[in-house]
Amino acid sequence: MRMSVRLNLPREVNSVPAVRRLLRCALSLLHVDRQDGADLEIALTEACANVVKHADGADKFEVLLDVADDGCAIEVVDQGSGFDAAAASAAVAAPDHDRGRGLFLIRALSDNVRMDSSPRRGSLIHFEKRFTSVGGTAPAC
Amino acid sequence: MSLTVQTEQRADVVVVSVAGELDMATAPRLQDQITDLLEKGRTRLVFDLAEVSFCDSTGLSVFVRAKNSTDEAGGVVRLAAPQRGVLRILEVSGLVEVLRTYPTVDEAVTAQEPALD
Repeated sequence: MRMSVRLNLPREVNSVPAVRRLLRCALSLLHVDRQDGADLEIALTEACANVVKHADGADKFEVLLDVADDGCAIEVVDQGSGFDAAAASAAVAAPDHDRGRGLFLIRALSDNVRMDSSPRRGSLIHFEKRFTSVGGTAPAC
Repeated sequence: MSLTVQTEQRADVVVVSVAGELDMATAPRLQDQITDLLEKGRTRLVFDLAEVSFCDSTGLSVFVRAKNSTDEAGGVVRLAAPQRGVLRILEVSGLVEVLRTYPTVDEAVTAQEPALD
């Protein structure tokens, strides 16, 4: 089974948990391994939080979930003022820093990560995850 | 979904019990509670995470900030009983080395600090 969902969301804090719960429901329908699902939930949350924090000028953003039995691809797109994708690719924040871990976590927890951002075109964060196994105990949605 | 935060004095620490999902929508509630405790001079904090089902980088930031503040004041921050997913984000981010984490609340409450850090 494979499903694609395109979501158009207001750029506000409450969209972040809402998208995460939709992803959780989709993953539980497909009985995705719990660990893989948890990693994707974090990555998606960080990508959406990045939009809410940095996509100044945009009042909406878009999330595309493409979930199949063997893997999942996610894109988070906005038309905002962009973020520094190069700086975001740098190493993890120092242990005593209280910010700057979001995009590092996306890279650490998913595969084929692509980040593209410019002030004129907005931003896109794409990431994927191959599922290690199918049939784990998925959390209820 | 909401986040609930309850506090209880136990021995020489305050146990802050957190329940729910910790992200940018809910973290301010926990941050307010911590700020309140610090203003009252409570700088020895144990966070009971047994009921935290999700934590993102915003949640981690709250604990790092709490640690930085309590370090300055000569206090401590300890995390207790994280679920597997929360433990994973602590490990992946490298913070499990920085934020002292214990399997149970009892162990976190009774833990002895090293004589010199």
